Amino acid sequence: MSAPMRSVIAIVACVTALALVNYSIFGIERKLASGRIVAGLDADGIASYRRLDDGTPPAGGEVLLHYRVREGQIKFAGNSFFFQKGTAGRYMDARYAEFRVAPDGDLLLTGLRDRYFTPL
Amino acid sequence: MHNWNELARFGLVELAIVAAVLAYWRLGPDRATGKAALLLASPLVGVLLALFSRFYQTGADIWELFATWAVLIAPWVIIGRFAGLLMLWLALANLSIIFYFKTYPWLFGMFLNFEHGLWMLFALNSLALACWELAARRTAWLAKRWAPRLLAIASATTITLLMLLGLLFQGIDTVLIVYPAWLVCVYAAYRVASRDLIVLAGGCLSLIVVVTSLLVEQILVKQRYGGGAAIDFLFIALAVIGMAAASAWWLKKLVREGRQ
Repeated sequence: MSAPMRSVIAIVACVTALALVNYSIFGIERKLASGRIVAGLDADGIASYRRLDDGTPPAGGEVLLHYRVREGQIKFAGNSFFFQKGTAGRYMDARYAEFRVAPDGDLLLTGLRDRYFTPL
Repeated sequence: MHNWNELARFGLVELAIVAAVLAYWRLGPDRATGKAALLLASPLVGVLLALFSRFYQTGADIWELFATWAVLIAPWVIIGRFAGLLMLWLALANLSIIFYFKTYPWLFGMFLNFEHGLWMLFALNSLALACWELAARRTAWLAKRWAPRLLAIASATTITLLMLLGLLFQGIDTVLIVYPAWLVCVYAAYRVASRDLIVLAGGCLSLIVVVTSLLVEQILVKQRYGGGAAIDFLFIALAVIGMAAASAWWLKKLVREGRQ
């Protein structure tokens, strides 16, 4: 086998090895970067963490919630809420976010509520 | 992507691997510097895999780390034409087997498991040794004595341990045939076909260990209740001295033959 041929094989083997390792890294990172939790709802409809989604269907009073990890923080749906210019005062007392939740865990932010659960 | 320091470390090691392989290409695959670059890249792959398994704690066994490492660098070993690189690969293969048989002790039970591992190591190193010696006749880069000698030491150590197991625990019959056959092969290969005093000395040592163990087992252990222990110890000591002296005399004779 000629020297250039062996150089080519060495480089191809190098690229293959690095591709395999990086593919594994990104695969694990992607799996870690999003997922679903099972949350329990109390009498007021406030959700709290119960467990990671392990495939068992949620019981009564439980919902699936889809999350993403962005910059080291867990986010549910979007983390922004848009309102009309000049009405910021209305939302100063916001304490809770109101979501519509699909059976598969997808979330939609529909509004904000204050500490007495009054829609703002 | 939450820990950039760790990911930067992956990137650094990967860059070093790429640099080493490019150096192999630029310096020339047939020059010593090029081969040294490839010898540098191979352990770096192991460093990368170790970083990976430490950072992600995938639950993979240690033997898988060594086996993956061996598989990934196998193409470099094949095209490298470098004794050191080939020996590194064989070391990885040995480590894979050692850790594999430590990983699954429940498969055969501790003792049988140990024996299976030893047979695998013996087969690997003896096969590698035979291939190395046969190929070295026609291949210049294999003509390094240190490498087959290391393989011969590995082969001798494992078969001697197996022979000791066979003597101490009845019921292991295969080794009672394989061990004498191994001694004959060593004699034929390193006394008749070629001459390597270091391997022959290793063979002598192995034989002394086995015969001494046999004497201890027969005299001391089996006649535990017979008394007269002092004279038995003296006999065994004299036998060891006699065998060592005979080996030394024989090896010296071979040295003189070699000089003529």
